[in-house]
Amino acid sequence: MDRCARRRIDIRRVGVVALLLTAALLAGCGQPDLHGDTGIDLPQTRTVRLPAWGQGLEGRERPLRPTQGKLMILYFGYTSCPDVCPTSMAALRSAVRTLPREQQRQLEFAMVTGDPARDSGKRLLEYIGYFFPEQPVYGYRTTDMARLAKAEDAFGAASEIEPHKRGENYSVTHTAYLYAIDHNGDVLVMWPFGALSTEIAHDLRILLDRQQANSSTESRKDQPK
Amino acid sequence: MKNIRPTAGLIGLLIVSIAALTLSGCGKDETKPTVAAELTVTDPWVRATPPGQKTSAAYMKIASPTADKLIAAEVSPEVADHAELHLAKISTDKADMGGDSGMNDDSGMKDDSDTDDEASHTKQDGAKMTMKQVDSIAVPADGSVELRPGGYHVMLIGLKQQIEAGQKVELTLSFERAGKVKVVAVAKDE
Repeated sequence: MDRCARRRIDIRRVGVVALLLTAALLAGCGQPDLHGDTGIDLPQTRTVRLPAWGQGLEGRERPLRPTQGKLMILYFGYTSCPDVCPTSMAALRSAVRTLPREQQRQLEFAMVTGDPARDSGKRLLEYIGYFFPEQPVYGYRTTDMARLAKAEDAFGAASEIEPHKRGENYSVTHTAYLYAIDHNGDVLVMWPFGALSTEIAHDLRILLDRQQANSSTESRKDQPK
Repeated sequence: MKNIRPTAGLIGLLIVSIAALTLSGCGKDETKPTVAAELTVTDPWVRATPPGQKTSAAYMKIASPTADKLIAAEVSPEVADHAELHLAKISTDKADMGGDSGMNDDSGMKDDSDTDDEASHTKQDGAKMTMKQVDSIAVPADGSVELRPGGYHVMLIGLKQQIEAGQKVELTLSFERAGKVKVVAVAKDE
């Protein structure tokens, strides 16, 4: 009798703990855990347009977002950067290489240069294309520094050219985030410099899965465009 | 007879012990090491570059039993114009985005941790990466320093051609104590 009573109490306790845990888990995650920064509030990103190169555009203005059904990964940097930019690009490339082929095809890559004097549109495409030869790539460039600053502002980014004499080599100080942008122009995730390729890959899989799910739902609803 | 053997044995032992002690003390000047202990460079590598790229970076781990300083680096003129020592770091000047920011005032390596924990990013938040030339890179005594992406690196300036993965690039490093050390850095894609 005693033993039975004890067992009943134990089960109840276990049950309560289990319920609490489940509740906590459910409360904590409406979505799976992403390594990068989420919950980003940058409403201006939808409105940014800059002269773009790639996919047949030769300086024609384009918003900073991918085509429908794709995810754009955007970076603010410059091609003469010896260390930071190639490191970010390489980490991203490693991440992309681990994704299933189907997901790799859903990506587009873009770079906004903070160094328009040395980075022509063509140069930008060469640079990004080297890291991502299989996907559509865009290079954004403007020599209007006020306009560039405004575009950077919209993304919480910034760049500053090191004062230098004409002909001297110089570096550009810049924020080094990688942004994942949807076709509305909204930033879904930001990865800071140093984010591991495994973390980026983990996040990309989730974002692309979600995007795939959303697009099939939309097509089923047959929404007029 | 019994008495002789132990005595002989003892004497023998004594002789051997003395000899051993003497010999071990011989041949070495214990006041200073005769050969300067070696500084070692391991895993030197350089970033493979996209075509048209004018700069790249070399990385490596340097270890030394005695304190030393890397004070210069040279690269073959076939590979690049020259090499410099650089440090990439986070510049946490969040005060002003308006172009008047004291960006040139590198107030040392303040390790203000990234603001990346914040849930929402506003335009003043971004931690900027900056890079500057340094005169030397210290190698601590009995320790090591690592030149790695996002930190110290040997910057190769004025590349004469694309550096391709697998290519070997020879660098001559100059140390204050150890003098010139030649290393062969292998080009890697990442």
